[in-house]
Amino acid sequence: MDMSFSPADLAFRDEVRDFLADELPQRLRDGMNGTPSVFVEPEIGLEWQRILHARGWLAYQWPVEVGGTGWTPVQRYIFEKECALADAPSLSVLGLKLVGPVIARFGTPAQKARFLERILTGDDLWCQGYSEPGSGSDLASLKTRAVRDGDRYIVNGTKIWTTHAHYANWMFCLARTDPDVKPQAGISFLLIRMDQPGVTIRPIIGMAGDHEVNQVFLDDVEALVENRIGDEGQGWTIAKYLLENERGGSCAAPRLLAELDRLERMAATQPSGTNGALGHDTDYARRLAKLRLEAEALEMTELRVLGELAQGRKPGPQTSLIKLVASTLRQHVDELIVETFGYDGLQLATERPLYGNESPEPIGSKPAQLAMPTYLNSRAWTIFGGSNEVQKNIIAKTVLGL
Amino acid sequence: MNFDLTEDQAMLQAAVERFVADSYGGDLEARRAARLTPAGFSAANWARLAQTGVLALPVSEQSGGLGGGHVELMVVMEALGRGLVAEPVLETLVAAALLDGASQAHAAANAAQHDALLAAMIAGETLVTLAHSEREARYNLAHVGTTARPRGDIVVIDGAKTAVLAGGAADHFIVSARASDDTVGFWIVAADAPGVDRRGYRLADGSAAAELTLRGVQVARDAQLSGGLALLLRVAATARLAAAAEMLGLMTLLFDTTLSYVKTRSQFGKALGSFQVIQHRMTDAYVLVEQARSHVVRAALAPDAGFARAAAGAKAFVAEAALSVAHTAVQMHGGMGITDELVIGHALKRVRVLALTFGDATAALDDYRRAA
Repeated sequence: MDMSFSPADLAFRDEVRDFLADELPQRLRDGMNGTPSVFVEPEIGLEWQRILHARGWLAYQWPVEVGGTGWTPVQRYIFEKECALADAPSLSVLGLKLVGPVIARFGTPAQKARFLERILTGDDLWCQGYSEPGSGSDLASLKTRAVRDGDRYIVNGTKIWTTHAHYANWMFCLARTDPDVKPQAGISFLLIRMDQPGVTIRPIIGMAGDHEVNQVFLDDVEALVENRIGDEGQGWTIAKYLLENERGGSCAAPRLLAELDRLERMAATQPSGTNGALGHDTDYARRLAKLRLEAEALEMTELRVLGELAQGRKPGPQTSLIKLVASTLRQHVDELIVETFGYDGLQLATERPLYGNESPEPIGSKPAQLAMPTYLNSRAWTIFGGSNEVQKNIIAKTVLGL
Repeated sequence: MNFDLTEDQAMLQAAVERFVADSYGGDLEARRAARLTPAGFSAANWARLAQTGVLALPVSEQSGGLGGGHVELMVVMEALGRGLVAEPVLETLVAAALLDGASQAHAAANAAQHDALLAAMIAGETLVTLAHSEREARYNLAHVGTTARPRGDIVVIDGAKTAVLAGGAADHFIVSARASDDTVGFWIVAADAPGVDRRGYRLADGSAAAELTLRGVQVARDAQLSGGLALLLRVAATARLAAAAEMLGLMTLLFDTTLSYVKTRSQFGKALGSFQVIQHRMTDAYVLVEQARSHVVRAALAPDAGFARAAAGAKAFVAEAALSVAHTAVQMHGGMGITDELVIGHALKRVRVLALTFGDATAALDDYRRAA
């Protein structure tokens, strides 16, 4: 057993650190830290994307043939960890991590040429048409219907929880092309232009007041057959591949640990109201220490998965476990943060954004202002990308054989 | 042994439920509109609430109130919680109890003036709220850094207050300050008095709170209420019962809404509620609702000598139980639960605010164990 990085990996880490120190503007770090929702706004995310693209590092999750960096799994982990520690904006997963790899894996040469580069340049912004009002955890029951009409499909249906649909010009969409076979077999993976008649976007405001997700109505919307990924009826296979990518993100612990460090520093200056600083209160300190233990366990679990990948083996079923642990831990950390600030933690500004010169003046401190909206948005972690109940069912069935 | 409401109590409950049905009636848009006003609540609803006598209920008959007891308070606050009512009833009850308690303590020279203010409050015409919390104090009610220095016939108040509930629209504040003899006292300060700098902000539940900076604020000596920290601690116990009862009402709203949802929402060809994992989580929530109700009833029925301890215990227990039920309700509703479109999210946010009223669960637990 050896959990150290090789000299080459350490050199790579230094290269990433130098790059972040030189190229990541403070404005973008502030934008990331001042965003209480899960996704950063495109004005922050796209600028960071351009900087990474100029360095040739943006497509690190893609195969080399389509612009990937060819990094080892360890290098990918190091890159993500260093970005998280430097407060780099989170990259929009929709194009880079979800539809990009799908097009790279299942797309035709023409589709790759048409779509992949535009994801990297930011010319195309993508949204995901998966969930429907009646099909959440039970995705295979989706009802959006696509009927073939010559070289196109006519699509009708409703998608929901569509992150950043209000910015996107393309949607990757699961639609039913054959209603007469078993549900999973009748689904196709279609790419749909958002700027066409029949696409209607209804904003869904989250309980913190943030607009991240939408409901999208598709009424006689056109999807060209040439923009179908894979064969007709292959949509479910592709969707599962994509969901594994969505669930496979396994560099959650470093950022959580960094946040716990930050929280510990803040608690050291928060008044306990009775005797010295809150951070010195035994109950508080124990609660923080327990969260740190959980985060350290998660970090090791992520590294054990990485170890499998580094040895050229397929990772075990831990990806599902990681989502389960990371999402719950994320919520517990955000609960402790909101409670750390006492009454200041109750403030919930209605203005957005909460970064930049126009942002509202906080009560107490900026971290206190961010605590409540972050906590409220954080309730989504155990729901999206497969709820924790679904994750547990998957683990029980596929791992435990129950 | 009989835990039924008396006829009068049942009528009171029905009156508040009628108010809820007539004013909001499950109309989240109406509530949202009320929250978005500068005051953070509906003036029309406030006037109607005053008419029901709810604001006069806990005030003694000598002070012009209805002299209701703890059970009546519980009944009213639970019904308001279940109705997700936006109006500042709890804040008004606290200010009224302070004024009422002060005027009972002494037949002070200023009693007539304070009684007039109290009468205007319970008529819903004037909004008065307690400005006590300070950032350095966290949840320690005895920690007061604001000072009140006598100067001739007046008193000069300097300091800063935070988390002044309903402070955004209040006409008067009851400001706590430390007098030159180191005791804590309370002074009535008009919101527009020179030297009062009010900064309004919104809390998680959409209510309009305020931070106050007090610089050389001059008040008449007789603007002081009779009674100091001991009075505040008595009022805090009542407020804790009120907050616990309102949280209980919110819990029943969250639970019933979620139970109905898991019975009707279908996934994988059957109702969500037919899955065992959902059944167990709903059962856990049900247990918490019943246990919380037991604690609220226990506090409401506690004899005077044990009331402060029972109220602190109820508050500590219910705050954690309510948060747990709210988190479950969000999770069971899936994506819909995290939106602003259902009562679920609004109830969670209200629970968060109530959970900190007069200290968080830990502060209440400390008071509970120390009083043993």
